[in-house]
Amino acid sequence: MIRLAWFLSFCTGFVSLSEEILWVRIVGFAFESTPRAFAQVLTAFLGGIALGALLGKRLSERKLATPATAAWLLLAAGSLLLLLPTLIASIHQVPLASLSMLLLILLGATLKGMLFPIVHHLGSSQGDTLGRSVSRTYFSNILGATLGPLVTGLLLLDHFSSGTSLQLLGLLCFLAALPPLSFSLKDGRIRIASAGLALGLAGLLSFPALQSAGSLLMHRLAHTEGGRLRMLIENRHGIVHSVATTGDEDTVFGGNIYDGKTNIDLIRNSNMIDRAYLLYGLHPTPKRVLVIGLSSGAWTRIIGAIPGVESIDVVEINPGYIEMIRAYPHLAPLLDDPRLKLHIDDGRRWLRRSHAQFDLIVMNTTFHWRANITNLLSVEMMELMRGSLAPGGMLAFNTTASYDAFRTAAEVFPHAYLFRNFVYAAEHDFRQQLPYLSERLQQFKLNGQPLLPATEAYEKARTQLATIKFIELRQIADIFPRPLQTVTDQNMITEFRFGR
Amino acid sequence: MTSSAISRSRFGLLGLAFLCSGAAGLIYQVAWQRLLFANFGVDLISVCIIVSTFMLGLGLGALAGGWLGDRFPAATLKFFVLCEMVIGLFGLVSPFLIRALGSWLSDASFAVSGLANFLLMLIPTFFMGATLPVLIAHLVRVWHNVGSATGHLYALNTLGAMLGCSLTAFWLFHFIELDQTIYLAAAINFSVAGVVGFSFRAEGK
Repeated sequence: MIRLAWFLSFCTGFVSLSEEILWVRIVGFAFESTPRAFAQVLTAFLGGIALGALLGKRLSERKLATPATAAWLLLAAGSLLLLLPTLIASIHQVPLASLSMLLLILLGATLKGMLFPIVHHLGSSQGDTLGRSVSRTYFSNILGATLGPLVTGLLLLDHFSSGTSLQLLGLLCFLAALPPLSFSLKDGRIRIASAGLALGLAGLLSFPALQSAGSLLMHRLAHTEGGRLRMLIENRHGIVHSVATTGDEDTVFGGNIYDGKTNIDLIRNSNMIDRAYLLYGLHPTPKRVLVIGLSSGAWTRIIGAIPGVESIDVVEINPGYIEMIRAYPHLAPLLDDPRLKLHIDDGRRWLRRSHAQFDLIVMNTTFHWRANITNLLSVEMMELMRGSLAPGGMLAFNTTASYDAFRTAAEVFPHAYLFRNFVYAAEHDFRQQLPYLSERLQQFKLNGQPLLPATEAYEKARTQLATIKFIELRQIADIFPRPLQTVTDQNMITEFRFGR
Repeated sequence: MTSSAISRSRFGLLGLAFLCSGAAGLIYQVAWQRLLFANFGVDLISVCIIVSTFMLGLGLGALAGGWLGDRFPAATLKFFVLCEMVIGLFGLVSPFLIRALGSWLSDASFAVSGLANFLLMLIPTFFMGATLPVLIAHLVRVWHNVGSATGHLYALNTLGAMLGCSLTAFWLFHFIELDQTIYLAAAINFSVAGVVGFSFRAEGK
């Protein structure tokens, strides 16, 4: 009986923490991965575990802490997991969808929480070894909870979608119910055990029919904004997808949040790609360039067209973007550019360890309200980037309209100015370079050909870009309804206090 | 009242203390994760290693707690108080330790950096993990039902964890800074240790 309790305790921990990892991903994907999305999942999850523990306590008091009860709880948990992709997809568009999803998390966690006191009851002995017997059952649970995130996060999600992974955990619950059902059979509880076996078998047999709901879950949750989902790549690092909209450009999403477009044309400029063209107008001889955040690759493609660029280090946290870029013929050649070095890594960690110096650092990353973005927008990161700039170097980064991020850059760099939502910052006043921009724009080359044709329309676009006016911090500070603040690792204001 | 019995009010107090202990635990976890992410990165490998480290520390602590509960059955509450004190003390110095380690190992390999952070986090999580079996051992001697005692304590601790998580993400991080949040959790640990230690001593145990 003790070994059965350890086994059940291990399985409960394994499935619980694996499920938590998957829920964080699914809820984050469905409801914009804000820091609150993670907290909501954890709150619902812990709430369910607490509620389940109380219910399990009641069962123990009524002498129902038996292998049969444990088996049926596992079967219920498995059935729910198997059906979750279908349920999530169906409630996704209804009012109070996020609340409904949290209730599903709560329900699943409650079933596992109920098991916790029961397996301890089964696995513990009264008397002198009580503490040790409790702790060994608890340790089995923790061991499962330790392995769960590793197996699910690093292995399962590299081979299966989040929806399918949920269903596989459901199958694991069915299999885990077999030993306690076998115990019940030996105890003579034939009817309850047979019914359990029948349910488990039905669950296993229904998997092929339900599998498509699992594998297509993220496709159903993906934003398409009226367009057609062209591609969705899910791996253990995250989920990226692209949507075909009007014209011959696609919109790219990272974690279901707008991440950019595939456009590189200055006239169309639907993704404000003029901000990338501007880089060469502000730095006359960028040789070593660092790009943090590859996304659609449009920016890196433009940077590769700047004359004289000798090396482009790109740090991207999700290799899924590389696979996506390969599908776009006008962007794919950048991946074969011998000057390009791709690093699949965390941007801040990579920069801290690289000790390299760059003429240009370009950081076109996600929205300022997303979880953990502080690591890229804080004053500590700005200092790190300042220290990585070669003499005469320049930083350009996307504030995504956070004026606190603008203020933070202005605190670190003597010259920091805003164009659209991008801050361009350096030790020197680079605005003097603007008059040369129109001429430099003619020098952009892709595959040996001028990137911007010598037509009237492009001439006009070049001239327009060369006459832009930067916005200074004081212009924003004068009209902003509150005092702007510096973003730090400590205050995380873009995520929390002034987050979404 | 026998030496193994506890009064209803003291029992309620112990439950409340364990709830607060769970709240402090999740405040730490959320806050420490943020500190570790800044040093360690926010990619999936880092997240999985951090979560697993927390879990393994809890597990090892649980084994030790169970052993201590059996070996020194009369001292279970003292162990609980001691654990809370150690967790609180670690909490006070943790922002400094985590940043110092991150700075010291900034050029180290991912494996070395991961191992060092793992060993550092093992200290508080070990003591956090020890609290549950210690208290279960204490309570079962009164209730004589392991499932009931486990369910009760685990529910309270997890409820506290839920409150701690919500409090941190929906309120604390909006008003106070990361280090201050950690100090608040340490204050909770010291308060729990103080209240349990005091009430334990006041009844002549």
